[in-house]
Amino acid sequence: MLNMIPFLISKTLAMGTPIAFTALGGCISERSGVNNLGLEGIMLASAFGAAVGSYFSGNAWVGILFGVGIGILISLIHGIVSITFGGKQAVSSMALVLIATGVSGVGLRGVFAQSGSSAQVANLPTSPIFAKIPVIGTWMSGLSPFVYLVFLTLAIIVLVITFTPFGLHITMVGENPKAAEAAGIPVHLVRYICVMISGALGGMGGAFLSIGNMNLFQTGMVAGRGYLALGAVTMGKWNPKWVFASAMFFGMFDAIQLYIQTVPGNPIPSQFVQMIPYVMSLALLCITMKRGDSNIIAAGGEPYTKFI
Amino acid sequence: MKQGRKSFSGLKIRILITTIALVASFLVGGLILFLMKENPVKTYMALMQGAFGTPAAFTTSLTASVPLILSGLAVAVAFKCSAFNIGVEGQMLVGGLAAAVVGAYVKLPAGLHLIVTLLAGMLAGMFWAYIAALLKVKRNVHIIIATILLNYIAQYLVQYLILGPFNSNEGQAVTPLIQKTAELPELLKAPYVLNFGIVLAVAAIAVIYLLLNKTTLGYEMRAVGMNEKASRINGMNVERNMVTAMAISGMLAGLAGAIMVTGSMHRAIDGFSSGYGYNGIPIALMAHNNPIGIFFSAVLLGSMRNGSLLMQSMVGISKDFVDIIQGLIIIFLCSENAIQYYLKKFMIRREEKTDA
Repeated sequence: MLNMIPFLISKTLAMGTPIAFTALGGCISERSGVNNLGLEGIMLASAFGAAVGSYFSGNAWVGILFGVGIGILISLIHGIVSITFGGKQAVSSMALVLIATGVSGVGLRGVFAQSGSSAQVANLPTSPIFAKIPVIGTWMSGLSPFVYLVFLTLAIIVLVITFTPFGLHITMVGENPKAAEAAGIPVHLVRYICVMISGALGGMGGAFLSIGNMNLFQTGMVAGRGYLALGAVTMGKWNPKWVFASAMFFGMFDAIQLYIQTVPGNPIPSQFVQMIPYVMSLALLCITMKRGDSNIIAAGGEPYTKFI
Repeated sequence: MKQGRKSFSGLKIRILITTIALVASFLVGGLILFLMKENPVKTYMALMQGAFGTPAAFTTSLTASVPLILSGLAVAVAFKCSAFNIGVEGQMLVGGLAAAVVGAYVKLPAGLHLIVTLLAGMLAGMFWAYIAALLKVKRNVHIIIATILLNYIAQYLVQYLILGPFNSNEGQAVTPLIQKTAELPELLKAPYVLNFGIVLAVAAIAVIYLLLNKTTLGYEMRAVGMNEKASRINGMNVERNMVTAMAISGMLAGLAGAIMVTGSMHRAIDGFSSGYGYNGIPIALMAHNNPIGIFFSAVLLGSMRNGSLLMQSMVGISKDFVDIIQGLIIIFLCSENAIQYYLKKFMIRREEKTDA
């Protein structure tokens, strides 16, 4: 029982990090006015991409780059459809999930000649550079570098949004694209950049699942985390800090689930234990959401294009 | 000019856009196969052969289309009322399990038993969708997030019930076989595979078509879907319409699960839906949420699903390739504004040429 607290903290960070990465990306995209419900697809595709990259290069960092690249590519599909063509953003992003499912399924057979999971690949489970720090060094080095990167990402995003002209441009484009255009801001370019950021960060989240937490890709390993990231965006009311906190909350439910599984002889059937993150997340959303919250970004989901 | 615009609207243009999207998707799919150093023609031939190669294969494709028709309808009904129900998968699982339980444990005369079993499935599916609708209306939880989370909850719950309380105790992850009185009658004898489910699916299409187009409820649901604010100002109860649409949607999903159980499996097997629910989205979209169109798009995707098994064993391409095609179809259909824009330009130019 003594090691329960460190276990929960480590696992909360480990399970919350992929959701937080993806949610921060989704937050940027939605702030610019492009809804992306396909975060699940981005995570799935890049979890697979990262495993492939790591497999071929033998280097996990190359794997991450691959995962991020795939994340950007697949989010660009959504970008083209929803920004340039003005298609229905909710529907278009669902295509990402289908395409990612197909690509990872076909790819598993194509690259690894097996279905269900990939071969074992190089991974990044620990951060040895922190080992020399006194007292907490061992614990800190036991965490994946992704965990530190996600805090860094949060800091950068908060700074960019609050203090830079680009951050202001994102807000303007999301609130009133017409006015933004009149002020000389390239609406489409800003939105494309934001969607690509969302793809890159979703790529980090996906890569973490396959080569941060584990050392292989499995079908179904994303397991709704992309949708939880989406939930974190709405729960955090599009404010990066709160989005991040919400994502970590969802991670905590996963950590609790993992902890209960380690308790010997617990009487709860395993299915109910595995259900915990989903039930708790839904309950948390019920408590925190209020009516009228859903339209914080004025031009969120609105296409701005010559085609309509 | 005016005449040109007139001839350019409505059903014809929608069918044209869908056809263009379909062709484009298969072309891009072929390109992907080519880049993977596979032979696209051979792959598509295997897919076709698996789907339509023999009369028996064709009936299997039709049978596979039945849950897809219903899940497409489920997505379309909710979508007409601007509720994006991606929880069809979970609602199907819950409905299928409820049907399996009532079919196996309840004793009723033939005919009545089947009806009660199907109703049990529909009610269970409705209940599961109702939770999501309630969370949306009362607590403003994003309906997509609520329905997807409920999918995972349903998946684990149904798995627990199949492995635990309702297990057949034969050492497998299945419920006991349902009684003969609860089985859907077969329409054709072996080797053909077709049961009464297809009739129910077609009936559901008719009911939903009439509901949407000929009733006040359907009118209100569509009005809410088109313009929530205007509907509210005109005194419609937006929330009630959304809940009703979701409930009907869940009923259709539950019926899909119940038909799978009573028609072909005759019991609930762990993980029996395997994505039928998610396929409802491209199906509804391809048909522009038109109930009659859904029949055709569901049969198309059902055949592809069925054919993909042969493709996997013959060519060695994973059956998940069908998902890529489905995703591409959505992408192209979502680009319909652009397709329409260029089509219009093209048609007007052609008309000007013939005028001159």
